[in-house]
Amino acid sequence: MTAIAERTVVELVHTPIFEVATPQPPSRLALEACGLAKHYGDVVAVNNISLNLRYGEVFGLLGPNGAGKTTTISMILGLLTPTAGSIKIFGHELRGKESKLLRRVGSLVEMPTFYPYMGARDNLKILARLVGGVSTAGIGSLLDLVGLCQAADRPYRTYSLGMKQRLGIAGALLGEPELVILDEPTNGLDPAGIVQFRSLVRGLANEGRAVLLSTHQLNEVQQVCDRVAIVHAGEVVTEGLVGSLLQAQRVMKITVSDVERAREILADLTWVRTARVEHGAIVITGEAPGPFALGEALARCGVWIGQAQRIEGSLEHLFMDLTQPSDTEEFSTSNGAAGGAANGRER
Amino acid sequence: MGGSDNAMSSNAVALHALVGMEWSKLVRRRATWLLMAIVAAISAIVPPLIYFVLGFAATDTTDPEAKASLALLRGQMVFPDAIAHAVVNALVFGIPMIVVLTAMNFGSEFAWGTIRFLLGRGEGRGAFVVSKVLAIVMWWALTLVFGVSVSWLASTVIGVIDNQPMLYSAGGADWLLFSGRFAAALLGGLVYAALTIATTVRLRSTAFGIAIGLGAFFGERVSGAGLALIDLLPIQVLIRAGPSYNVRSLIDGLDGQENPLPIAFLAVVFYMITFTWGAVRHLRRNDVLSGGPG
Repeated sequence: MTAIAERTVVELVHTPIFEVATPQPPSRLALEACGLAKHYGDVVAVNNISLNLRYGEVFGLLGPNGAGKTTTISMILGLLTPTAGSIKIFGHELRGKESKLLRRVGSLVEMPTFYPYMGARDNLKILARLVGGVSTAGIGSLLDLVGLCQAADRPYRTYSLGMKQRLGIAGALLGEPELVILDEPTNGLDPAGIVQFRSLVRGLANEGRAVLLSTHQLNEVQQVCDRVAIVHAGEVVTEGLVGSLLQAQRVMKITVSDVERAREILADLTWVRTARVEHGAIVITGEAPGPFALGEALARCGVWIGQAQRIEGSLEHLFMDLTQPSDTEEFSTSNGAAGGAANGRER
Repeated sequence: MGGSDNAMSSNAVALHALVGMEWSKLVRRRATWLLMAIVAAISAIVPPLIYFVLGFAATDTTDPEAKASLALLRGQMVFPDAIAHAVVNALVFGIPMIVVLTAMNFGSEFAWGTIRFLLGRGEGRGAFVVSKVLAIVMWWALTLVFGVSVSWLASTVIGVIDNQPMLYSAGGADWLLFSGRFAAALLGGLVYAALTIATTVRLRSTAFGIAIGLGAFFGERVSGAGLALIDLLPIQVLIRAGPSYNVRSLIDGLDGQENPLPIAFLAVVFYMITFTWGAVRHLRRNDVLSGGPG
């Protein structure tokens, strides 16, 4: 752990993870999942999820526990058979070509799983035989990268949760995978490990690799991902560039002289995405066309703003809007859908 | 043609790497060596024990027939009969061990979740079973060699203590019988391994794999008594083809006793292929994560 703490983020970003990186045109897709569904009897775990992941980007799959993220990833990795839908990896249909295609995919699904009686080095050696083309020096570099050199020969069963996770990440990176799929990879990592992990993931994308990152950690997505899909109850409820989603999520909190009248006015404003009354104040999301647009619109109808507070958009607001039932009073806007939570859903 | 040859060569290389991977996993596990050591220990202890206990029994009896039977049994513990009989010792003591090892080998992959990691990195489901089976075949061959060697060592010790014939007293016929028995034992142990694989993969449970594998082995030891009753059933032919054409009949067939050798051989190969194929088929058709949403 000390070794990791001593390494700077800059150093980590510039640490060559693989000797050979094959840059891919940014438009090429590493992964195409179309209409994926997984049913267990009457229980719908995943329903009609479609994802496209390009080379050189980090795509976040964000959702609460039980949203269907791991099920989706398991289908992509050929561990579960989809009830419906198709998966293409590197432009080839996955079905029937799992052995060939998945050797080029590094993955960490749920908790890392390794042989408890072997150390990190032997576990990676075992896996290297399967993946092929990995040298002993390459294994050493990976162990160094994830900070497990000191404990490399200790049995895996004696590792802490964070150390297991680090080995899981090393296992996912073994064999220079073009597509890296990580499911809740920062579980159990300490703050230094999390910072290092973020740098590592960005480094992978900068090398032209595609990274699918499943998590319920909002700040992780905000800091690392280029695009994100929010999954809830087995469905994608919104998807887009992280920057765009944040911009669309800018929040203004105002107190007004006449709340009822203000609600009527806001409902007619096209740029207002969502609006709700919260403890007597009105919370508005959306990008106003100008700095005085809101004040002008309200004042023209005789409604005066008492206090106004601008809150920068965050995935947390968006996530909560889309996935949690709201206990605030919501009202419809001219943007189409009714009420806060529903308004945010872009399908 | 060239492409097909390349693909076959590539598959052979891949399978070679997978078997190497499975062998590495086996040899790094302490239980693997412990089970082999148990076979060796029993093979070392039992022949002298039988030899000397039967020797005491022989001195106590006056019945010439009983004396002859005891002498025959004692003779199997010393050379030259011990050459071929050592295989039977290793087989009988080794089968429970191969059942335990096989169940542990497959069951642990499910229990530790490592099967997900392996399949997620592109290991084929059929290749997963086949490479494990091949690694177990290697272990079984090694265990038989080890067990037989220790058994011979025990017979040598008996020879030294009781002034009995040594290994060099064996002739060509003894070695021929030994070769046949060794081949039969190699094949026979794998039947129980294959049954254990099928059960462990189907139920994803090491304990069930061991229970069914050992149940079949010990069940066969006592099934001879039941066969008389089975004769009365209309499906007796089918039932007889099951437990009666087993590893014992294969070995007996080599000695020219009881069941005809070709049927026993075919029956044993049939069981082995069927059980292994069942395991592959089940694994191919099923999700490797337990079936809850999440």
